[in-house]
Parts: sequence; structure tokens; C-alpha cells
Amino acid sequence: MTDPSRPDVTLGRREALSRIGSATLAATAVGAGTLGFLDRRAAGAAPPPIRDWRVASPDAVRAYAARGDDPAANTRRVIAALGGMERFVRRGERVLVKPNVGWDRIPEQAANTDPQVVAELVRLCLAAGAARVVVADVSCNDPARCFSRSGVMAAARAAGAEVLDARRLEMKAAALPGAAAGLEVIAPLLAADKVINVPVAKHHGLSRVTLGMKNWMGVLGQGRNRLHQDIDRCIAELGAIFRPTLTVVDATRVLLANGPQGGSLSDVKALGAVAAGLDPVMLEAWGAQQLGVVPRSLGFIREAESRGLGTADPALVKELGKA
Amino acid sequence: MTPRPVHAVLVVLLAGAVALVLAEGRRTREDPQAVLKALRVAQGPLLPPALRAGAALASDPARYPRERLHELIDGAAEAYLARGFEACVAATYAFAAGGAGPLEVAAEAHRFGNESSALSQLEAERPSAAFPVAGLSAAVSDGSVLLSVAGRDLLKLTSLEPSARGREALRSLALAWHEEMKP
Repeated sequence: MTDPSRPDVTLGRREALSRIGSATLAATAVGAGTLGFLDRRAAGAAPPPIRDWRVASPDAVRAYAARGDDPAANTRRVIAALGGMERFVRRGERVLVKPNVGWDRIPEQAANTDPQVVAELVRLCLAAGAARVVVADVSCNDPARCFSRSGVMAAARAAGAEVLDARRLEMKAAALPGAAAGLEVIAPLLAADKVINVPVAKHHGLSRVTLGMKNWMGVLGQGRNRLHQDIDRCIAELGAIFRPTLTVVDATRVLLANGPQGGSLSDVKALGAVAAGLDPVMLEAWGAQQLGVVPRSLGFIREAESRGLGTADPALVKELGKA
Repeated sequence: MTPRPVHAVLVVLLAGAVALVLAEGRRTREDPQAVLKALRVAQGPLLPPALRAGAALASDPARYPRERLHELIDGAAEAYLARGFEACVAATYAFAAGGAGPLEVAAEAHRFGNESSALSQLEAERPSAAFPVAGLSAAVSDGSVLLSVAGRDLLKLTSLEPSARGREALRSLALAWHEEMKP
């Protein structure tokens, strides 16, 4: 018997099947949408790989060195010998210039890259049409003091660069292999179309010498000290991870002892030299030679060469002589 | 009771004991700063007192235990650790100057396990043109860097201006530090 106070909810077979079908379709659509969303999020969370910023070059000579009293002129000469900055930087590109600004030291103490070398590279990039040139480093000492005392802040800004010190640097995850796995890198590195590595040639208490490959420590975030545990292998690993467009070695003044921090002027020798090129290992060898060190006596240079990252022969760096 | 020689001896001994206690008490009362200094030195290395050196602190002192020394001196830390480094305190000093800007000196005081380790680190870092600093034992300088040892502490001063006043600033800070480190 039917209760007149309750509505009739009896379903026919056809209507029941229809409703079940609709519900199944809706559940499938919601489930698929959720899975797709989660999948996209997972894909978005994967850290990006480090780009290869190198450009193809058919030249036989892959590195040049220039000498003279003017660091900016030396820089111009080596870049001109390589074919000009226009060969490496295209109109509208974003360029990261990575000097060594690790220390609260004045240029005469030779612990940081010479500010005139950095500034000249900035000018050349902008003249080649770069839309933006960023100068950045993760300093060891207080970043504000390092960038100010080194003269890099003033010189690079005057040349038109955006100078970022470690207090303003955004760090991002990146897919780094080996001992650097899990470390973050500075965001401007990931955003750059071209990267110019500008180390200073100097003594280092642990690796004996620090040059371009060790300079990549300055793009890494917290925890980078663990790379000191197996320093030669780790430096070569950094050289394999980060493949710059250009390497420019500053040997305007070289620190011969008590590096990397330095401080004593009697440990410094004025060489008035700058070298630039496309083979980081060749430039590493040239830099070591400026410091009076036999290149292949350095574990990280042997390791880098055995990994096929370049040729550790300083004689292949073409000397342009004194201006 | 008849006085005997032994009584005189006892009186002298008593007077001596009283004098000793009084002297000891006075010495203790006069020396609370020495006690505080000894406590501070026991806690870790000390930086030169800025006022005594005629300077002002341009940065807050930062302390570095063994685990964080690399944050201050990067790869050079390994040599310190191998020599039994225990702790470091670092700061920058500013010396006022007439027309010129303030002259700044970076200072680091490192503590080692013993004096020979501190001296060994001094020798390892001795600049090639270093000479002994007049009036200070265990101190060398080339005019831009000054290294000195007191006990098991190594003081490293770096002038951030290559000039005569820079050399004088190093010497002032080193003298003030040695004064502070005196027991």
C-alpha cells in the first residue's frame, strides 16, 4: 500500500540504468581531472636541468691572452680576437656574468675578480645587444661588503649591469648530478640565455689553485661546503655541469699564497693579463701556469681533461702580447 | 704561666697566618675584572677591545664553531681544522680619519687546542714580506696583514687600505688585544 505522505520514488529500470551511467561518467571525469592535475603539478615540481650555454665555434684557436696595464683594454682585446661579443651574445638575450666576489677585500688584494674586467664584459654584452646583463655571486663574507669593497658593484652598475648580491638572490632547485645533487642554484643562472664565467686566478688552501671550474661554487646555495670533501673530483664535476658561453680568466693581479681569502699585499703579484676562450680546461691550465703551477699536477685539471671537458695545454692559448 | 720561646714562635706563626689571609683577601677584592676576564677567555677567543685601540666596531662580532668555519674562510678552513681549531670570532673595525673615509680592518681571532698549533698556523700564513712587530712577541706583519699569537689564540688582522695609517691601525689593534689577553 502506498503512503500518501511520501512521494513515489520508485525508479524504472531504464531510468535507474541512466542515472548509474551518468554517475559513473561524472566520477570518471572528476577522477581523470584530479589525476591530470596532480600529474601536471608533479611535472612542474621537477627541478629544471642546467642548460648548456656554449655556442658552436669552428675556430682552431679557442683561447687568447692579452697583457697590459689596462684590464679593460686586455678584456676588449681577447674578446675581439675571439670574433667579438656579437658572436656569443645576440640581440635581446639575457646574460649572466659570474665573477668571483667572495671576499671582503680590495682589488689590490687579488681575492676577487678585477672590477674593470667585469665592467668591460658588461659593456661588451650590452653593445652586442643584450637586453639584460646580471652580475651575481654567492659571496663567502658579508655580500654587501664584498660587492662594495671589491669595486664590482660600482663598476658593473656604471657599465649598465644589474648587480645582485647574495642578500637579494633568489635560489631555485635544479637538477644537479653528483655531489651537488639537491643543492639550489641562483635563479638568474636558470633564466640566462648566455653565461660568462669570470674567475680570478689565485691560490687556494685546499685545491692549491682556484679558477673557473671552482668559481661555479658561487652559484650554489646552502650546503655547498660538502663539495670540499673530495675537492678535485667535485671541481671537475662542476665543470661538467656548468658549460659557459665564455670563460674569461682575470690575472690582472694573482694571489700566490694564503688563498682563497688572501689579504696580504706581499702575496700578490701584478701580471696585467686576461685570457678568454671557449675551452674552460685550457683556460684553467693557462691560469695555473700564471700562478707558477704545472697544470696537470692539479688533480681537478687531470680529472676534467679525462672527462673530455677540454684540453689542459696552456700552449694552445694564443698570446696577443702587450698592448 | 711563664712565657717560653715556643709561645713567641706560636705568636709569630699566628701573625703570619693573619697577614696571609688579609693579603689574599685584599688581592681577591682588588681583582674582580681579572676573574671576569679569565672567565671570558675560557669561553672562547676574544677580539681586540675597540675603544682601547681607538676604533669602533663596524660590524657585529660573528662566531664560528668548527662546523661553520668554512662560511668565513671557505677552503682554507681545512688547514685550521687539521691543526685543532676550536672556535673563531670575527668582526670589522673602523678607524675614523680626517678628510678620508673611515679606514677598516677585518679581524679574526681563532682558538686552537694548544699554543704550538696557533704558532704553526701563524707560520703557515706568514706573508712573504712579513717582519716582527716592535713591542709585541709572536707577532708578524707585512703592513697589510698582522698575525699574532697569545696563548692558544691566533689573531689575524687585515687592513682594507694599503697605507701608513693602515699599518698603524693594525698595530693599535694588536697592542689592545695583547693587553686584553694578559692574565
